[in-house]
Amino acid sequence: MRVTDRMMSMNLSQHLHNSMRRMDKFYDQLSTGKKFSRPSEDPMGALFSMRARNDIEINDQFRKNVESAEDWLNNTDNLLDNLGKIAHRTSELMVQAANETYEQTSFDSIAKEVEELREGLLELANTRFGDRYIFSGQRTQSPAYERVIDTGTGEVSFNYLGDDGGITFRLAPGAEVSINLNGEEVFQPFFDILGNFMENLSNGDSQAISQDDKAAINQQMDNFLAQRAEVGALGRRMELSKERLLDQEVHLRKSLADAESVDIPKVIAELNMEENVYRSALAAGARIVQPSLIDFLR
Amino acid sequence: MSNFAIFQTGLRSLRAHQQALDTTAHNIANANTPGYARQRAEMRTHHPMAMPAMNNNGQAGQMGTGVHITEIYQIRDYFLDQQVRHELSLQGTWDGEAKILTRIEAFLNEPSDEGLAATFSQFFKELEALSQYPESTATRQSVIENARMLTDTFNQIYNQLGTYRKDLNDSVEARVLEINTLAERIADLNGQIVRAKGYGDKPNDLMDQRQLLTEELAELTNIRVKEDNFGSWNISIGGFHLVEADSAHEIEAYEDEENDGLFSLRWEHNGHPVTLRSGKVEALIRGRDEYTGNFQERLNEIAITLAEEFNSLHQEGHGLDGSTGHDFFQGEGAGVISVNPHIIDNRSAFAAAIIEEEGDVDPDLVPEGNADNIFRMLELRDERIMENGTATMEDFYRSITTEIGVLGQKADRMGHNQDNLVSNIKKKREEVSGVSLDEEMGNMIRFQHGYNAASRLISRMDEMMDSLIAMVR
Repeated sequence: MRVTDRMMSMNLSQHLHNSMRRMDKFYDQLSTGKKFSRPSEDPMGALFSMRARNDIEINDQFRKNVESAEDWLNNTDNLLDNLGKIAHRTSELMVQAANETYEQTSFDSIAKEVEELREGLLELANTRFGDRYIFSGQRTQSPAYERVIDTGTGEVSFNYLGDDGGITFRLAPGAEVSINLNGEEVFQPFFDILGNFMENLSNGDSQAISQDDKAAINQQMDNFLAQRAEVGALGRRMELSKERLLDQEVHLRKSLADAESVDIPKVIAELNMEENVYRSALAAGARIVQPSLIDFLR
Repeated sequence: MSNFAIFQTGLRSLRAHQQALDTTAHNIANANTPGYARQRAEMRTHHPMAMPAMNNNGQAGQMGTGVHITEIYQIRDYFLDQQVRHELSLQGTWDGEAKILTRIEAFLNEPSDEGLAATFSQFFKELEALSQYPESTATRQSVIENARMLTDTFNQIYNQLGTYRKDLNDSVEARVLEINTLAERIADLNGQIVRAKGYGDKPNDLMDQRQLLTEELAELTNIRVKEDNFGSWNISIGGFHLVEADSAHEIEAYEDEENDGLFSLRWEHNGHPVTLRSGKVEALIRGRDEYTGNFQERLNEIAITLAEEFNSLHQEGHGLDGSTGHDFFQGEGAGVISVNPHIIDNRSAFAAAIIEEEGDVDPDLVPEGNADNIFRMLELRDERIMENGTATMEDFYRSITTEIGVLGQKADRMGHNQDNLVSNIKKKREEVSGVSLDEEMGNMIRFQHGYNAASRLISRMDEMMDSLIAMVR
């Protein structure tokens, strides 16, 4: 085989070029921390990475959804607790009124307190979470209840202004959960009970109080308990969902890292090897300019 | 035989070695000239002198008369040349494709936090946020802004691809011009070579030039080269002559109505289409029609599907202002899709709610917290509405990026392989045709000594003649 000067320099430049190309890739990987910057460097890796990124985003969003739902439910639970307290106090007052020997003044003072309780109930019904009324169904911008005073009779009644729509959260694709309690179902019976109680008080009808009103408030307290249980169950479901989403996130982040992150020690080792190759190629290149026949001709 | 004949022989030897040294000098001078093949001066014994005489006094017959140069030829392996042309053409294809696909990848910019996939995801994320808070004008604003970002990204990628497609088209025309110019020059060289050969010369350097130009041509397109009896190279593409002896047929790039007014190629002299199989021009055309054009089409498909499906849901919902029936997106195709300006101006017209009433209603009839329509919109993300119901919009988009990636990877690898192949064949050719300076130096010494010896011969002959003439005195 003939070897000419140009062949040697062609070989040298080709080897240097190839070596630089490989080093360039390693430098890229080290400086970005990623296995590839363009899909063509690793199409399947890019696909996995795009999918994983997407899944992480979605997962993140669902986690946010679940967290807001949890906040909402915690808030509802607190409110139900307060409602329970009002109901309890009402029940105590009923017991007091039932035992009261007939004396209108004491009924009146009880009625005063009941009225305060009713005001408190109205306040609770119109609780806002953020800037939304939580017991108005989907009519979140209007208070759940308003107090209406009949101009003729002076009679006070409470009107529900909301609707029966649900406030829904998405926990997963296709898994939508309605997490609000229907304000009318929660409050209307209680308003009615308080209304009846006050009427009986003003009539001094301790008989009706000890029988009808007492039974009604007990029923109402049971209802509150049932509603709290319902809210609690939903809360536990949220907790489970959150755990699942957190687990999934760890898993997804790992697969994203697998798809696109470089194994730094490995790349450094490979880069070192490549640098050695490059160095030797350069050293070999320096020797191509070794003495030729020309140097020996006078 | 006369004494004077020796002068002749010496002179011939001087001349022959002189020429051989000239050739060596030419070789050394062109050691680094691209396309140069080393030349050799072919030395042959000169015609011997026969002595067919009646009175031949028994002398040995056929007296040698020295040396002469019969031809100066170049050392080439024509098979390797042919291989180089073939592989160069394929290298042109793959290198060209790799460059084009890298550009397309850059337009798509995936995977990243700014690409279409990310903006698409962001839009749905905001929508999700709105589903929890449909009464919030700030969140509505955010949904609309993100939708605009999404449509802007669609527009940007589509239009970048469009501009690039035009650039590729312009390049096709420029490259065709290059082909025609090369063909012209090769035809010219053919003429000169045939003429020189007619005088019995070997036009080595012209042939080198022609070789080089032909290789440039091979990079551009797939060519077949055939040498005719007179030394012309006839070059054809797909069965039609591009160069025939000393004339060139032009290829014409004309605006093809059947292909969006983009350039197609035909032969100027007979109107037949030019069929390309490889080379840079083919890569440009493929990049223009199969890649850029095709990906634009598919982006369109996504944009149109998104707009249609989203609009049909949006139309059925009611906005906070009680209005209904509005489109959310407008514009057909990825290049022109945008958010309906009415929605941009009236955030409350975004139809988050589903109510029982139909038509525009009093705003009071729309519950602010009703996000039922948004939930339907969110489901759209996971619905398989592309490719005959087999892929979601995001799946479909990802399949585009993956396809570009796979094509790019293939082109990259093939290009790299082809580089290696070409440089290997070129090395083989260098092995045959390349100038080795050591070798030339060796030859130089040989020829120098030959030259010296011949001059010595002449000067000795001169002395001999001197003594001979002195005898007479």
